[in-house]
Amino acid sequence: MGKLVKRLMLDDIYAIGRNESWFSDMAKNGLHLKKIGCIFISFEKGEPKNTRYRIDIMKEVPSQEQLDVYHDCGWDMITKTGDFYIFAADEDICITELHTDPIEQGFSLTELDKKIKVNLMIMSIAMLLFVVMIISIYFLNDAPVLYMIKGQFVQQMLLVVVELYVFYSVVRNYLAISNLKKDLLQGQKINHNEEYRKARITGGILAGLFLTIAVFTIFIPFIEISQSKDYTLPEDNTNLPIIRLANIEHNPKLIREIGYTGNGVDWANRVSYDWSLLAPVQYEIDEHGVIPNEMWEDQSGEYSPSITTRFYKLTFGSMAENLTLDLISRYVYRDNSEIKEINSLQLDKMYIAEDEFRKQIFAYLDNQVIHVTYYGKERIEDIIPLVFVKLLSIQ
Amino acid sequence: MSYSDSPMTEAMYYILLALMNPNHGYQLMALIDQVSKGRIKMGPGTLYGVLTRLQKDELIVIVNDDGRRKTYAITEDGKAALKTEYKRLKDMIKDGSLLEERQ
Repeated sequence: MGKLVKRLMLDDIYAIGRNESWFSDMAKNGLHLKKIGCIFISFEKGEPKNTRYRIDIMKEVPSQEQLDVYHDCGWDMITKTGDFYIFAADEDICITELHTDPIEQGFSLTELDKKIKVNLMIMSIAMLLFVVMIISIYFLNDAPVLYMIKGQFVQQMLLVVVELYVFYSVVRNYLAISNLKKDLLQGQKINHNEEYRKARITGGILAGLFLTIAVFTIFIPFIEISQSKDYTLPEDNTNLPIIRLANIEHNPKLIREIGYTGNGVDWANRVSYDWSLLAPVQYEIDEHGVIPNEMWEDQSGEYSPSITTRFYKLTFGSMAENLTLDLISRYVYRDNSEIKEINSLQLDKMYIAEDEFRKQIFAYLDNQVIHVTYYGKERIEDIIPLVFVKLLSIQ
Repeated sequence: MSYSDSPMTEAMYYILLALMNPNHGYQLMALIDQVSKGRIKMGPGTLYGVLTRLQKDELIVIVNDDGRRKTYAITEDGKAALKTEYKRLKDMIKDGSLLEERQ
């Protein structure tokens, strides 16, 4: 037995004429078809030969008697894949074609045609459900842009592309068999010498492209997980894009209020960092403080202000406005607070919302979005300049 | 697609004709070649494709299967279909006689 050589299966097996033509050309170069797998086709190295290949579609496994009759006519079965049986005959010895009546051959495709049609219908329904599901995620969401950058938007979109490609393959195969059947029933024979190079190149490019997308889709969550981290906010100054409680309160008695501590992180004073393709820098930072012996105005307890800063650096600056609006829609309870726009020449937009002790500022500049939520007695007007300075300083 | 959907193909007609006497695959090819005086060289793929279809349409049956060889025979439905087709072909020839009269 000669050495086995593998080639990628770049064309559909459904493209009967093209594959037959390719196998014959390979045999002319001394590579004789041995086996067809899902990804690879194996050829055995040998002497160059003129070989005819025919792909026969049979629902039932051929009997030994049938194979004997084929053999007596010069045709030997080489391999099979699914319902596709591949026969070969020596060009110089074979006198009878495998199929001599195209109409009869057309009839033989009826079963396969039906099977693919059912596949196509199931696939269409699945595809429709999938698309409706994806659309509903974004259209029925009150904060779609926030979901997009936090969730697996890019991954989901890539998955849609891969799904569409699979669907396109099913449609393409259905059309190939349907058209072949139509041509055969009209008496038109299969072109056994059909040009195959272009289809193999296109198939190779598409398969390579979609394989890359599929692999990329699988790896994105791993990158996201590996980049994500939580740690305790240092008490000293940091380079983090946040407004510190100490800068707002101005009271030297302010001390840190430590919250629940788990996994070595003080969750009341924590920095959460995340990464996604659409927002490569995402921070959510909490800080809690307390001023001993000072009470809230309603005497409900010791005065303990807190601040949460959300900061996003987006890949596309054009998403900044919608992300800001989504943050407003997610974190402002409209019944209690009025949203006001603050005019500023330096920032793209700034909005504020206030209800009792809860003061929120939303702002964006280019591709950076910040959302500050402060619980405390200080005035929002005094916090606004801090946000200005912070956002401008990050530039 | 069953026979009733279209006129018979040449392959189907000759196979039904050859099966007026029960026979097996390989001999059928030789017989058809002989009956058609060498005009029809039927490929093995076509032969078995037609046999499978005719069996499904119950125009032929397997009368003997010794594991090595299957012997096929025409059914009553098959005979009726063959006669109908024969009549159709005869009518066509009759209609075509106009050509001979004109010569």
